[in-house]
Amino acid sequence: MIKFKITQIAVVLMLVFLTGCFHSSVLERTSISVALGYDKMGEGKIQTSSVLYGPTSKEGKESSHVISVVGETSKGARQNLNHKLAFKVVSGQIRFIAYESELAEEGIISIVDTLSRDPSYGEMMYLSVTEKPIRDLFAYKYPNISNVGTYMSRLIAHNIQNSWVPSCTLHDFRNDYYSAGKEAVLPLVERTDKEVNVTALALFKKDVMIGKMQPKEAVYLKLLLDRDQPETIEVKMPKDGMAKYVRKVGHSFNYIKTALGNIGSHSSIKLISKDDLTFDVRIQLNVELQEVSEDYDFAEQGAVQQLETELSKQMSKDLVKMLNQLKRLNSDAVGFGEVYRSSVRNSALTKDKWQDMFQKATFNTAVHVNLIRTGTIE
Amino acid sequence: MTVSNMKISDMAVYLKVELKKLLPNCSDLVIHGINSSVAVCYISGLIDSKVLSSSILGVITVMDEDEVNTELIRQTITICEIEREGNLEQVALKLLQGHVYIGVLDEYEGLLCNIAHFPTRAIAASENETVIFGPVLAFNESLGENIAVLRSYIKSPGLVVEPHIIGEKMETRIQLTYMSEYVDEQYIKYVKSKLEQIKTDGLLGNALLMQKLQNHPYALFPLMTLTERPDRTIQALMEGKIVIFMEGDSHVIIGPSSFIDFFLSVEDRYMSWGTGLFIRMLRFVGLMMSVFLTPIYVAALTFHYQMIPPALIVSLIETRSKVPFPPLLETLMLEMTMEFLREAGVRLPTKVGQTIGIVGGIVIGQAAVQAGFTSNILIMLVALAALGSFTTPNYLMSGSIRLIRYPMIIMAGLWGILGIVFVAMLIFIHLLRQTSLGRPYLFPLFPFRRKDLTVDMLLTPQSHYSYRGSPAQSSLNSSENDNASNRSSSKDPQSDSN
Repeated sequence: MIKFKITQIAVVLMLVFLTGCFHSSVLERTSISVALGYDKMGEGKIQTSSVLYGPTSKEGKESSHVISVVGETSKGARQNLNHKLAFKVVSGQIRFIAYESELAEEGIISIVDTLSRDPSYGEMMYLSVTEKPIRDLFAYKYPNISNVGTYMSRLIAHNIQNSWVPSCTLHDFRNDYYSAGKEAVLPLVERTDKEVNVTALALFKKDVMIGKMQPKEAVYLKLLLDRDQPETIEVKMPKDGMAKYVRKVGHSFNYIKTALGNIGSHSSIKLISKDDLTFDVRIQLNVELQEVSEDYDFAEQGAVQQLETELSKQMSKDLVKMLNQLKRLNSDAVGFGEVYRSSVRNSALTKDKWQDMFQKATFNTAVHVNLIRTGTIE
Repeated sequence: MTVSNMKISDMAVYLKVELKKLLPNCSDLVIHGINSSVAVCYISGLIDSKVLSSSILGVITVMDEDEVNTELIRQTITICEIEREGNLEQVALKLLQGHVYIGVLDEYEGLLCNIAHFPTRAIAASENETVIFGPVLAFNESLGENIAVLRSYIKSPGLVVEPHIIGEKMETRIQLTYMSEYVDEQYIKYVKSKLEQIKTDGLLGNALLMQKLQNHPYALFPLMTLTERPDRTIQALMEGKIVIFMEGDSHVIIGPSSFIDFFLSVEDRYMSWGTGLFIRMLRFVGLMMSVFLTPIYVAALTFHYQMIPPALIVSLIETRSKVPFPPLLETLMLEMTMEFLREAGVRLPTKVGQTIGIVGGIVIGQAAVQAGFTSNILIMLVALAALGSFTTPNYLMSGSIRLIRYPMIIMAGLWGILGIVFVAMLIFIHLLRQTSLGRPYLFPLFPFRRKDLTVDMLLTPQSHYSYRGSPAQSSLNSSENDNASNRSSSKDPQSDSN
């Protein structure tokens, strides 16, 4: 019995001590990278810039420092970062990765792929594209941003939640890349003077960036794509039928501009005819009116209904415009291909096949705006 | 060697000779000859001297020397139990238990009067298990008084008080008590068989008896409860548990106990339902914090920097950058300091103990950080972990909880989170294997009994007033009894259990 106990204890102790040393990374003995950027250099080389946690100032304000190195591959360049640092670079805290658009126009899957091979990278970090070199965005000394790496991830995160930026995590990108009927979208970020901006969306065809989409259209893409919905939608429409409800003031424009607060929306895409590739795209919006550019008389009979109709008409037009842009660039960012694949049995859809088909697709769009509150006492 | 088969003239002289042979080193033996034919013997200090002088000596001294005999004395003394005894060896043993021996010349048997009065302290407030409100009474070291306290609460004839003797030399008296209508016979059988097996000179205190009663010599956790509070004892009796009193110990053993029992205080029931439930939950949070907080710190800083939130990482790097030790060593040192403080506080006299708290708090807390010895955040975590362990109402259990933290910290330093999980699983297996008086230690979580759990955790307002979740017997015997909630009034546990 005692012998058995000793054997048991010995086995447990051997388990503990003879299994080899697990590779440790003690917090303060690592260089923790929070953001990465890839720039295209000449001769097919890649410049990697990394934002790292810097020493904390006396006021407790965090700081960052940026280092850049050039390498033949992205992984190689990242390894070269170590040449400039006192501690080993670790990547488990990276939350933001940006690619220069020149690089994105050549295809970025090799760089994205290496990220997902390394288990220390999170799947939920944000990918973005920059038009100017990313090193310039990282290395600039912003007066109001202490750590540009963490700032960027927060910027993207809150824009995904409240604004027109569709979810752009590493997971989303890879999912879109490998799916037959959907293309990836990434936000375009840019430094304008002393601040950073999300300016537009970069549209992809496979892993190659092929065009941009402006915020005005991006709102409709977001409405179709995500569960998180944009909080405000701006609509500009011709006066037409609404002119009689507008009280005369000094100036008079031909357009009415409105800002709508989105209370809840629902979108649905249905394949109507698989031979003609006709899709039914419907958006149902519950909105409150936050701003209107003219002195609109809501008390008048039919005024609100007229506004709703005009809004629906205009938004439907804008939606078609957005869809046509996608068709023109042949980048199915909405994922009509996925709808087709799930509606048609044995379609054996591939990415290439769908790219040819997408050109022939037609859309029936219908936007229904339900104006719940106008904010005025009627 | 009897009184009558020798011709002697003075009883006192005779007893002196004979008793000195039996109790040769007993200097506190008093042999008092009242006259030549009557002598009184006792051990000073063990008897109630007031009773002796007023009711025994006072009666015998007025008797006529020629007429005196045991029957007359026996009839005259009315205050205590009296028995006849002729064997002097028995007399010597009884003297040691506080009897007075009255020997009369020319008579075979003398009289033994039990007027034992062992030194005890008065019944006082409980010092180690304090409550804010509710009864403050605690047991003392006198077995008789403790049982009297018990009976003052429970008047039912169903309260069984069974005497036993333990230890061949010390002959400690213990009392097995239980409520006959609630208790499970199996527990009684278990306790009795264990008591019979005990072969020892004597057991000093109930803590030792408790260890003899448990099945697992290597148990990390206390398997039965020790308490000095009568209200806790009474609650246990009403729950159908067994309580063991011991002569000379103010603590009583309550069994069977489950793991959850150690985190419950009687005071919880005195509060309103919501407050009671909240405080019980709080203790389990305290348990979790106490066990896992510092190991997670070590694991996160050594291996898993990924899981530290970005808001925390900056301040962590800053404080850690001044510390020359790896996180494992840093944590072990600080945890040991905490244990030193606690142990020093317990061992020192109360007045000095208070200063230790100040010295420890200020000097070690502040200076250690300024000297770059540890990080601020760790000091806070260690303090939180210590506080968490002190929320446990049972001292033995909180000791065990602090103990299991150390292997966990070491494994966290070697293997990270994997190590924490490894140790946690070992502890869980250990807990699953334990039994208390034959009942699974993790009851009512394993085997799962919803009703008992509701009562234990005060999950419903009704559980405040109910003591037994399910009939006592169904807790041990398997699930076929589960649907029998209507049997809670059953008087005979044995007939139901099979």
